[in-house]
Amino acid sequence: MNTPGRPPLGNPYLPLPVRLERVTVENDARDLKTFELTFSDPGLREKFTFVPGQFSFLGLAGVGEAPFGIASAPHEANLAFTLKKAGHVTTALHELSPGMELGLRGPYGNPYPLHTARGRNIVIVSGGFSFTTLRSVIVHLMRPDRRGDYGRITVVYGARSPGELLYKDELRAWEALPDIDLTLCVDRADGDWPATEGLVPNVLREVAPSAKNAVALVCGPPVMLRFTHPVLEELGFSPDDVYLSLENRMKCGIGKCGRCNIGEVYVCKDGPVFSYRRLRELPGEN
Amino acid sequence: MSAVEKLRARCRELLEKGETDIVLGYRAGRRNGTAVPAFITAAADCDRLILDESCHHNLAAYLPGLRHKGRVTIIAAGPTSRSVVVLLKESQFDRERLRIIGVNDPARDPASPVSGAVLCDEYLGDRAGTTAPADDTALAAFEAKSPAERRQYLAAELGRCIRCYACRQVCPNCYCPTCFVDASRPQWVGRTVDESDSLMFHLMRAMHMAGRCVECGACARACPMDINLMLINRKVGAIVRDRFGHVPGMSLDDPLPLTTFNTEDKQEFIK
Amino acid sequence: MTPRLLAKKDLGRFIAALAKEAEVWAPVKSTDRENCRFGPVTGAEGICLDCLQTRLPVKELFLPQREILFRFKSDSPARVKPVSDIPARVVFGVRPCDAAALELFDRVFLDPAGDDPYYRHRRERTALIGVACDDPGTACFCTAVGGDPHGTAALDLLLEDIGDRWLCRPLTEKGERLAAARGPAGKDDCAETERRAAAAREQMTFAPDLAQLAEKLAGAFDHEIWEELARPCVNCGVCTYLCPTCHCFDVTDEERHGRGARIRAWDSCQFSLFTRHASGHNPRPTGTTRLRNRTLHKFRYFPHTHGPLLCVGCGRCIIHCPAGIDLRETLETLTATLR
Ligand SMILES: Cc1cc2nc3c(=O)[nH]c(=O)nc-3n(C[C@H](O)[C@H](O)[C@H](O)COP(=O)(O)OP(=O)(O)OC[C@H]3O[C@@H](n4cnc5c(N)ncnc54)[C@H](O)[C@@H]3O)c2cc1C
Ligand code: SF4
Ligand code: SF4
Ligand code: SF4
Ligand code: SF4
Ligand code: FES
Repeated sequence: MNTPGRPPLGNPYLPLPVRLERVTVENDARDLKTFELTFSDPGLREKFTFVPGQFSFLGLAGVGEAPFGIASAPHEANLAFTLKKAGHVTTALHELSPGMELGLRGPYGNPYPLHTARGRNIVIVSGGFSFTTLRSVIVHLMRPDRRGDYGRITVVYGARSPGELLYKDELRAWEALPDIDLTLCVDRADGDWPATEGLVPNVLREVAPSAKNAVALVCGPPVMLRFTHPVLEELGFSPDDVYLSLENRMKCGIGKCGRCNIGEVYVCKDGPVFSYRRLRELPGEN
Repeated sequence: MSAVEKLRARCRELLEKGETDIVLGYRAGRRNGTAVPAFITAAADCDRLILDESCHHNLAAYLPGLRHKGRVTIIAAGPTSRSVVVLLKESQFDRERLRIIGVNDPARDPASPVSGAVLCDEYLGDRAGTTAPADDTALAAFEAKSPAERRQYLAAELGRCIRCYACRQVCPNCYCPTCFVDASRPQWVGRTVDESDSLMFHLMRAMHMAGRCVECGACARACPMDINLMLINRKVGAIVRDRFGHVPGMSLDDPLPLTTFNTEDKQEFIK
Repeated sequence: MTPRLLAKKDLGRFIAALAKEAEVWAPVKSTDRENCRFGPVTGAEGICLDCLQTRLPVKELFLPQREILFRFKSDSPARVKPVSDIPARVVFGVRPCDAAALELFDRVFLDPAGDDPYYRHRRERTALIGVACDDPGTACFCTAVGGDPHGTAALDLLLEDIGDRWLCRPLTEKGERLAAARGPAGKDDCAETERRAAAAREQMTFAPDLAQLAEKLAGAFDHEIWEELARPCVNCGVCTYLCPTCHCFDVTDEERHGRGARIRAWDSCQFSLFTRHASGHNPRPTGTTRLRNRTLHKFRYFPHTHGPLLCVGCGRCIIHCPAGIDLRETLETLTATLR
């Protein structure tokens, strides 16, 4: 079985020093940056095993820490995260430049069910900057030695404008590849990117990926999620085959501090990825 | 008819006639000698209303939360009525949607200067007098101490604070949507129970209370650590009386001392 | 394990002997008010066993209200140093309900899938000496939630009053060692404790049908009754901070003069900021949703995951709720209202 990765050190509250290798500004508003990180103690990279969908905390002592989905794939050398400047911690992190150190804890949470999805078609639906962990999934699945394990890969990814799409170079490269079916959409097109105009749920309806032998992995803002479910249902996806990733406020990441619960589950340790069926059983409190 | 029977009958009548939507009063708690604030919307439930020495909560604290819940009838003894006055002056409730049934304070704190309601639409029974704030011997004793002793006393009292915020939550004056202690951008006050953090919380709160605190004692009664919060409040109250000649919550017409400039204000701090 | 005897007049010597080996903590009365709290002692002096309960439960010795997770220097904010060394401790005078709550903590903090090293350290380094209750308070209801006034959960040694002596019941090897120097108790002494325990149990009459309640709560999330239950609640931290079973915390950094520490501090699901996202979105925006979370965590979520309820019936939330809300009444109302 493919068990999720576990933190490499005993004390789960202790961040490990990591070095910022590269920063990529992802959007015109400059509030989305991708950080590529290496462990300051190089021996730790090998012990830090994870599966796409898991998350880690990044932080600075004196400022605090916050959870972020891992955007790199397990086989990539550097760990990558894409951070939106949202508040106290993210603002401080955005000010770091390459060569500086920060602290990392993780990996935490349950990943996307890629082990049970072997041999099946994968449908990826995402909106806004929560595309991060799904990038990890795509890069993971596209590895030449893995690609044969899965069927068709269909991706519908949208943002407000072309400038807000993450990982533009990779998106361009994927658009040219035959074994991934990528549809990009934006609220407003601006000419220099051939993206479809329209909201993710509507575009998904047009793309209409077959539900047959398929698993859908969904991540996006709450409104997108709300309107995406009905479309997936229309397309014939069973709630067992739709997985989504949630973001609740978190402090510990390990089911102790008590704040990320929805009913009896803690999003940090029982999620953040849940099947739609499981989510439907839980109280509507997120 | 006993006073409480009269009260029940009157509230029943108000609800039956549709003159009010909610009666905010007291009902008996499950344990002997305890009361719980009651929010009564059905005439038949008026029999649950009580009025005895267990009814010590300052019901005005619930008014800001009822702002969008229709017409409210509040049972108000002296302290609650004074807080109602403060809230009305600070535009926290619509006078038109509020009916005040004045009562004499059934749980009168001997140190509280007012027993009867200061503002009401109708009064239950004979209205008790409204006395001016009494000389405070506890405060005088505290002030007689040396500065070092005073500091030590405050440190010991506030050192027990567990930052549960019961004092803030039961206080009708504390209705800010985000309290300064909760603000994180910037974070004014640390989250811990260090002496410096607790001192900061209480002193800043005292500042916010100046000219508004009616000295009802609700915070001190709510405090699970028995902290002498009234010492701070009485001190602030005494300063406001002394400097501005103002006693909060006594009348709707007094100007608010800290938002009104008066050429006669003492200004020894401007040198 | 043989029950032993400790004469009350020998308490000072007993404590002094313990203090040679370990730090000893016991309920201590603070100078001028009724606020008994666990504090360090070296003899019988200051120990208060007249108060039924300490105001704050013994949890503060295992999950302190403020605890340093690690220290750092401001010029190298990625390099941190853990602090967790505490001396061996004996806690004297723990009530059975407070001790039972530690067994519930164990389920959260000693989870093999994700251990809390700070809690484990404190727990392993501490021996617990309990004192049984013969005269429960008006808010006590341990018997209703699976506890007992002479309960032994999580304790190493239980002291039961038999007049001018205590019967000392060792419950673990640690406990056996603590009582080793005492003479053995007789059959009559044991019978006396049984009699007192039965009398204490009888004083607690609250006996809800909790199995039925658990079932009813399963579908109660959207019921309108929560609104009514929550109306008097002012959403303070009293019922969670004083509760021996509540264990939620916040993590914040403190920094002064180039040095700092990451600390964890108690937090409460009754506070509005507890769940608020950076975006401003709050999954539990109202007092009603927060009171509902507290009630359901204790009587539905926790039992669903772990088995036992997350309440030991100590009654602190009842006595100290500034609004006068009585948890027993809440449970009765829920049972009567839900289908
Ligand atoms: C599993 C998971 C994965 C995430 N992945 C990403 C990602 O890949 N990229 C990204 O930009 N953001 C991600 N987020 C959201 C990110 O954690 C918040 O934007 C961040 O916590 C904001 O912190 P702040 O200190 O800048 O904001 P502040 O408002 O100052 O927040 C203060 C503290 O609140 C907590 N907090 C506030 N909002 C959130 C939130 N929405 N979710 C969780 N904790 C919160 C954090 O502990 C934070 O330190 C993720 C959240 C979760 C739970
Ligand atoms: S009620 Fe008492 S313990 Fe709680 S915050 Fe106020 S002063 Fe501190
Ligand atoms: S102690 Fe009472 S008022 Fe405070 S949060 Fe708990 S139930 Fe509400
Ligand atoms: S919920 Fe109340 S009675 Fe139960 S353990 Fe907590 S404080 Fe005690
Ligand atoms: S009731 Fe609230 S504060 Fe207590 S443990 Fe549960 S979530 Fe945490
Ligand atoms: S983040 Fe602490 S319990 Fe989930």
